[in-house]
Amino acid sequence: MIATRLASSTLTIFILVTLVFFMAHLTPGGPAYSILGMKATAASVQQLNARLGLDAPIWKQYLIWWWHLFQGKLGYSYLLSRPVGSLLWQYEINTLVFYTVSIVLSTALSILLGLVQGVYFGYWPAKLIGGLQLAGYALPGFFVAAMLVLWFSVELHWLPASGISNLREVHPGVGSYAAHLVLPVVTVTILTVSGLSRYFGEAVHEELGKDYVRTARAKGVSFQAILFGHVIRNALRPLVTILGLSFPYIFTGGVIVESVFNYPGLGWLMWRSALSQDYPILIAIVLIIGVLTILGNLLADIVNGLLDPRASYE
Amino acid sequence: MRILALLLALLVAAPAAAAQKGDCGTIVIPTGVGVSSSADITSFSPLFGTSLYNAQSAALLYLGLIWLNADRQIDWSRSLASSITTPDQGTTYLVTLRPWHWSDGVPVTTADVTYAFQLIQEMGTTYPGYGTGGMPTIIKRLDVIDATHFKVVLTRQVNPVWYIDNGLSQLEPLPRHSWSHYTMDQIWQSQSTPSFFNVVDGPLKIQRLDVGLDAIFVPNPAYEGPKMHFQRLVFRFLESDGAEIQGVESGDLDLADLPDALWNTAHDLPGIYTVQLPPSSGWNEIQLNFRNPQSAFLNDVRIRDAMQDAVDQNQIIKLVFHGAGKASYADLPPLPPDFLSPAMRTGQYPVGYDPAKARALLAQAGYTPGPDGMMRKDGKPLMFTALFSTGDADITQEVELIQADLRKAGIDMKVRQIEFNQLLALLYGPPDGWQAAWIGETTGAYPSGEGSYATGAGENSGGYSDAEMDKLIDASIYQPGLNGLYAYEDYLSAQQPTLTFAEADVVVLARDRIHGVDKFIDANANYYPEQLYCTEGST
Repeated sequence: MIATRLASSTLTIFILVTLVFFMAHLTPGGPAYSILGMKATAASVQQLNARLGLDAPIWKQYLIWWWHLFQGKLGYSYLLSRPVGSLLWQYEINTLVFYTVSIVLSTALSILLGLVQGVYFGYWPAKLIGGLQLAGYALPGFFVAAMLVLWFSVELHWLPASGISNLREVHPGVGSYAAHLVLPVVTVTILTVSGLSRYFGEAVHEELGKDYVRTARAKGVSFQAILFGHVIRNALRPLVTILGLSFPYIFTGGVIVESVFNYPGLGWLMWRSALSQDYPILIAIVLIIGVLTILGNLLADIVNGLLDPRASYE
Repeated sequence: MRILALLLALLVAAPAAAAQKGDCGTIVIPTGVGVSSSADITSFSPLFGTSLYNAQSAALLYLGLIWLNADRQIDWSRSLASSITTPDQGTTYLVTLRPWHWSDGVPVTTADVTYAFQLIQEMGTTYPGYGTGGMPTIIKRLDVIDATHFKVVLTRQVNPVWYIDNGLSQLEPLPRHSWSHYTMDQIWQSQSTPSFFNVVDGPLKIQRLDVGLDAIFVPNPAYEGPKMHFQRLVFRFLESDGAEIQGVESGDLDLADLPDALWNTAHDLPGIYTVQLPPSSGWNEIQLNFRNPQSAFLNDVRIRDAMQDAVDQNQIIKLVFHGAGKASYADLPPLPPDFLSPAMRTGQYPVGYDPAKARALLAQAGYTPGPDGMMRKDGKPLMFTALFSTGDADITQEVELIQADLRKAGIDMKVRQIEFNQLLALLYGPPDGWQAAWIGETTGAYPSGEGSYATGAGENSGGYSDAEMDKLIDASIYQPGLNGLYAYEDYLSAQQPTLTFAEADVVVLARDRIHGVDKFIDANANYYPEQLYCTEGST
């Protein structure tokens, strides 16, 4: 079963990468125009394309790309003049830190808020949380980010507006990096908790209405024991599935929040690579997203299996 | 009395002390400040400076043979050449290098000049300055006389001002002893690697590049020019104008461009003052495609003049640029008076806002207004589509105002926004791919049009061709004196091969601690880092 699943996943990734490769290369323009800018002439573009190997037929470039991939090479960024692998790693670390903190914080807060919402369903705490969830869900990410910067950076000068460290310090410490993470993490957390906590709240409420809970209560088991011993465990399953789907974001980040905060993460890199048609970076990131999405699903299924032994993978 | 005198002296001395040039520590500014929106620095090599940001970075590391100030005059104090003579009035140029050293102590010599020329020749058409000033094909040979003298012999006699300003200025000595064992491919691949650029002769060295984030420069300890007043100069890449403003307000940045959209709010920010810079050497234009059969009407100069006459640039300057800008009626940058034709010097142009004249010209060309007020000829409307790239609110507003003015004259200009890369690809693509395109443009120091308007020129993407224009361009390049340039300028303004529009003056926001901003950036987008200083005692 797992072998079949891996085979179909591999096929999916192959199709995804192929589609993106051809779509990127067939889009009018090309990296030569990004590199040459206003100095681009027909002759200079042609010469530069020859230097970059972009004058070969697309099918040949495609095969060369796969050949290099099997050799462990992701290519060379046309614009940034760096090996793609080292670039991805540099940006990846930033994204990993950012989104891991965000997801962990979001998950913890979502469980807490969802628990309260589910337990007090129909009462004012649940309604208050519901209202906040709706507000948070409706707000666009760039708006939340911009407002946080306006208040905490511009008005109050409590936190930096953008970047990853204080550039005025020759050797910025951990504190500097942490301070620059606060607003981006808060932004992502607000946006994530709004939806995630609602899912969990609904799941908790649904579990609390089930027969086994009623039976346990009738047998005299304490509410806390039922809640923490059974309800949460069962209510976590849909949350785990959603987190599994969110797994790629830990590695690939998000374009909007990273752009607003000028945070050099993978999402930001992907966006800029797409705009400047820096194909090697763009296709490498798509490959990573594809692999991670599949891994994330697999991981979610495994965790769900641990949470509920009745789940079967055969 | 003595006490009074002492107190008076102290009172006078205090502001004087405060104005002394103190060290700034680390200065953080966005890339392109004072010139353009922020973007990445992706190369430090003078050979590959295709973007403004890369060219600015390279200019901080390497001194050019000549440095032209905003008045198009050679600033010998910043030039590696100490003299340039042309004994035969334009074919041969004798250049003397001043005593100067690379940062590792090796003297800068003519071998570094010939090395740079070899690399330029090897790059061919991918060299950013290819064709400008005839580089490199106009050079017949480059003869080294000794370590500090060399001779450039051209294939023919040219106007020395043209050649020195546009051509010779590109011969920037490069560290032969450090680079010569690398191939061109290796030099290409190392263009963003700071350690590759450890031998420089300019005021700064590159310490670190965080790709996509920032570039950190430090003073070159071996620099033989003016002293810097900072320990580090950090260029940050920022995604938006808003991020720049927020940066300077929050203290993350020391300078930022003031976008026109935030003009009203940004003049009263605490701890921040504004500096209005002189007009930059760039301008905005709508390039016209003469190759497209659907734009055949553009070949009629009356139509082009009518379009230029229909647009009220002063209103655009007032509404979009808050009064800080200058109208443009010819495809030329703001020039010092010496470089302007006598007519232009007095503000006389063959075109200018005159809607009645615009309609008269259209009538002469055979157009009459239809029932909807739009001009028609033989049943066909006077209509075209202009492409412009996304992302700049000022450009969007300016284009909308131009569109409205053209509509009043009966000309239907439709607009379509596309990505800049795709815009460039269309410009050099099939003839029917575009009709008009909005572009920001600059020119060489000597504004002859051989790259843009000569028949078949590399940057002549619209395929403009006019025998008289070719003749006048040649005269501006090959005849001595400036009369040839003046005649070309007047004809250019009358012909309007592109439609030119106002460019805003740049206003920079600066934090109170930092000074010298007005001298830091000149109209040619050159940076003078030694001009920046801080109030003593500030950090």
